[in-house]
Amino acid sequence: MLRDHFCSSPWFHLRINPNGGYAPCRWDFSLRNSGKNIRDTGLLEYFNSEEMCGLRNSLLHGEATLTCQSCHYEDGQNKVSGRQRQLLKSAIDVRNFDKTFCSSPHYEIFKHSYEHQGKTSKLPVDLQIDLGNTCNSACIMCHPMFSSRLQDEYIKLSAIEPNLFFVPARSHNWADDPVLLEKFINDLEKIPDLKYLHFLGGETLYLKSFYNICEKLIERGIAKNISIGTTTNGTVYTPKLEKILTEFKHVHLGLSVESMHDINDYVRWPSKISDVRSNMQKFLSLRDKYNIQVSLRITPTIFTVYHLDTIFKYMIENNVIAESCNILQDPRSLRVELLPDDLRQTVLEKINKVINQYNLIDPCQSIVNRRRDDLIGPVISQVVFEYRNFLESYQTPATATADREELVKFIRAFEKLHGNSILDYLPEYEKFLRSCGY
Amino acid sequence: MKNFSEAAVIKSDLMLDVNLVISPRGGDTYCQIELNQKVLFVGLVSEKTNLNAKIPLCDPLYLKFFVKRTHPQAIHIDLLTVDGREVLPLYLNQASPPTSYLDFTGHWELSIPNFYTWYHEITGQGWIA
Repeated sequence: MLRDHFCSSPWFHLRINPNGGYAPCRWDFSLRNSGKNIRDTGLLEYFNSEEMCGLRNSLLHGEATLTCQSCHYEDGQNKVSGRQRQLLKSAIDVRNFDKTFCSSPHYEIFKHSYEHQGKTSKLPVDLQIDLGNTCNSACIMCHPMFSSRLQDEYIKLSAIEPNLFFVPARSHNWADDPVLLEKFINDLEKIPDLKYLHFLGGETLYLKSFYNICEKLIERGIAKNISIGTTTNGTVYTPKLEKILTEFKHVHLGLSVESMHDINDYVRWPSKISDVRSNMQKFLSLRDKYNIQVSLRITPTIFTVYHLDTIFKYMIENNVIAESCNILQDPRSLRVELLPDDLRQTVLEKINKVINQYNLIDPCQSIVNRRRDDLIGPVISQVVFEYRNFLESYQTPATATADREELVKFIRAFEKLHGNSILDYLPEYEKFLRSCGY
Repeated sequence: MKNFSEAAVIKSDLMLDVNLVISPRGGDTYCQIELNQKVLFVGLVSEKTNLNAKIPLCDPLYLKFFVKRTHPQAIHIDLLTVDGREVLPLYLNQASPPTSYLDFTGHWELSIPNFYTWYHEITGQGWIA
């Protein structure tokens, strides 16, 4: 059905991965290689490539695609998915799909693509640019493609647990190449209505290319007409950021963190939550000083979910929303859905305690556009209720027993490298983990 | 809608439900109301009056009042909804003049080029790509 599967994102969005490979969507976590790279293919050429046209065609035929898998899972869990948020950029509301689709300002553009095998004359105006994988963290739920530190660790981990960890290919940051960067900026200049660039890494604020690209956008006069966003792990703060953000039309800053508890250090190794907390306050000061938007980007795992209440309290007390990136599906052994029933109940009790303590009310209607300053309170409430509802309703995977055993092997391999133990951070998990062979 | 071709077929049949509630103030008041150049009501408004109409989904919505009155007569627009979504009095600033109390002789109008795109914008649903 069109209502269940259609997404307008491929008509205005694309993504460049850290190695320069193109991907059709920021929410495509399949990490498939499109075979097209900024080294050999221009931005606008890729936009009408076989892959993009094929995806548009499938969507117009109401088909479910692998690219859209994570959004469909979120839709199924009644969370606001990336698909819903992208549809909104075409003024399409899934709750009133037929009418808003047919009256969308992009309807004629969809029609053109339907009649021309998925091709479009519209230009991409919302890009996600992964500049490279240079990162100071090795978060255990991340992928080596997005972290140089994790890439190094995977080489060692593959020797410890070869069935779980692969030897990653060396990644080369495309944005470190000044010729490619110039080519990219030239391509951007061909998009007169460019609206939004979201930069990711690696750790964006750690990447020189982030500052280079921003300076070039400022020099060329593009900056003042566009909004930019970036997501940081909160371990880096630099005053350089302050200079940059005043030059853009609007700036959005996402902070990746799921818990204000020490468990964040275990999962987002080797960060220190005390440093992250201190930087978060600096970012919030920037928000207040320059009117930028700051949100938390939360992707809870089976471990951080236990202290998710701490992040909810932080959100409420600091008036900052969270945008859930996705419900973590990979690595599969870190999925929240593998929680045993007793821990699941404890997590629910803790979330309910937050709801009661702060008198949160579930907004009666889903808020899809979460970046509204006037709706921070309701959005926070909605995020809290979404997670509560998810925790109440998810189905434990049929493969849970095997996945939990895999979880133990997975963390034991990391612990050999990091010299730590999950039980020092989450003693409450001892019975559960021991029962799985820890 | 299974796919785009079904959407293209259905599109022409989709309609907007327009509901307008008006009432007189200070006595019976003469008024002519047009919706997209079609007369929806003409005559004296002597009591709370509920008017309904359907217009094609993608047609602009152009609502026009002509009021003829003497003091203290007036027409009050109590409510305007489209597909159950409140337009007036919530977004009164979109009307010209921006009031729902028509205590003058003359015209009042509201023009919305594409209802759902307008509604998207006015309810703060974010930028359109």
